[in-house]
Amino acid sequence: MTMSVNPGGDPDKAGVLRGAALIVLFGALLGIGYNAMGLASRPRHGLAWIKQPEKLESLESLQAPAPGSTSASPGAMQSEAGMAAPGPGEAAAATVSATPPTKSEPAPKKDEAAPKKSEPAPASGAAAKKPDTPAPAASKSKPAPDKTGAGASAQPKPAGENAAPASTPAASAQAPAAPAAAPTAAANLPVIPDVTGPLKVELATFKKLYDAGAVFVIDAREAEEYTDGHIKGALGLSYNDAMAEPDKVKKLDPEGRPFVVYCSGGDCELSMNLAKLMVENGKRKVLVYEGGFPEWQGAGYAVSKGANP
Amino acid sequence: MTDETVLARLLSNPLLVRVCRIGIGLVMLAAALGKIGDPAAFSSQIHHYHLMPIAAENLLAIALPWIELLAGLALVLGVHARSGAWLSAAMMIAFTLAVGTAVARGLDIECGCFGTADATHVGGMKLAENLLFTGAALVASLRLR
Repeated sequence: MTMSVNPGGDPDKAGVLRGAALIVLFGALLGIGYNAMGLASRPRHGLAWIKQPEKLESLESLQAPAPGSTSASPGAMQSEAGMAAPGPGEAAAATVSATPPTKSEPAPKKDEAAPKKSEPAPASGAAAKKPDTPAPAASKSKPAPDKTGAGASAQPKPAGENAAPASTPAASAQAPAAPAAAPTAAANLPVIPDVTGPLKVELATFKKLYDAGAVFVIDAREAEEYTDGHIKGALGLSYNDAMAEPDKVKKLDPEGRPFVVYCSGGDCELSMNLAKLMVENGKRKVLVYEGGFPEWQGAGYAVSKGANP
Repeated sequence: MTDETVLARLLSNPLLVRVCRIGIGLVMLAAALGKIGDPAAFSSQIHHYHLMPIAAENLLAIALPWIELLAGLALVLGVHARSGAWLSAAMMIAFTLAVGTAVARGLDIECGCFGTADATHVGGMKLAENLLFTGAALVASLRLR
């Protein structure tokens, strides 16, 4: 279509392009200058020139110091935007530098005398990562893997005397039934520091917490993926849903337990994004299990199928 | 007179072109000011699209709002207005493609079109809005007779 606006071509074309290039150049220079001033000012408020992928501090690395001295680095993960302050109701929790999973009611000392399970010694973070952590075969005696899908609507129950799945999505999705955690497990559990950002957690540590029923597990993937298979007892809350309805996040009640959020592992960022959203909504002690469902399933641990009850 | 000629005459109406320039200029200014105030949030919004390397996201969040600001000023003040209009049209086409791909991938993310000033998520309405702005920017880039 030849517009009659520019018969015979546009004589101004070169000038227009030159003007556009100048706008881009000056705009970029202004932006760079403004950001440089921000970076030079105090407090700093500019952006890093090159964005680095966000790395979470791991829960295991924070286990190394003596529990009494753990005032875990305050910003486990400070995004450029900064983390929201804890919600008003969480103010008390914020004063605690490090606490064990609060769901474990029995005092740790009391448990030390109790017979140990077949779990490896708890430990420092380094130990938790070792391969002698619960092997799939060994741990299958605990929560019996439920891959039948029949248990979709059934509340996960502890298999035998052991391990209750960490979180059990109750019908209201607000207060998963408290698992019957064996008191002995509490003594072996890692300390969950009360830091202002999410921490990552490895499979071995997560499994310990899960078996003790000391975590509230959340699946950040889409509902269809959750229905196809999820960690037994996990609550399905996709990141997209949580963003659309932040009230769903605010209403989450872990009953004092830390959260563990997971998605599909690999490059999946849903768990990280949901964890950040949870922290921004005042939640504390949010752990990200980066291995995700594939790693959990591959290890032969308990999975379920079906939609949220 | 063919339909094409009628459309061309209509679109090149000096009044329409001027109105489009002012309108798109104001849109660009609003978009720029919403982003300049919180570049970190804008960088995060860019990240949600997963369309570019993470390393480049901050650079875009740093520079783009100022380019929008200058393009908007050029359009509103009438200084190098066609340059501002061409640039605005190019940016609007890029934004529309980004929103379109996000919708096609089923992402439910904040558009980030106006930085933190507007929490609208991507979707059909946002896509239509962007197409409208793109059309207006193209009209604004026409030469005044």
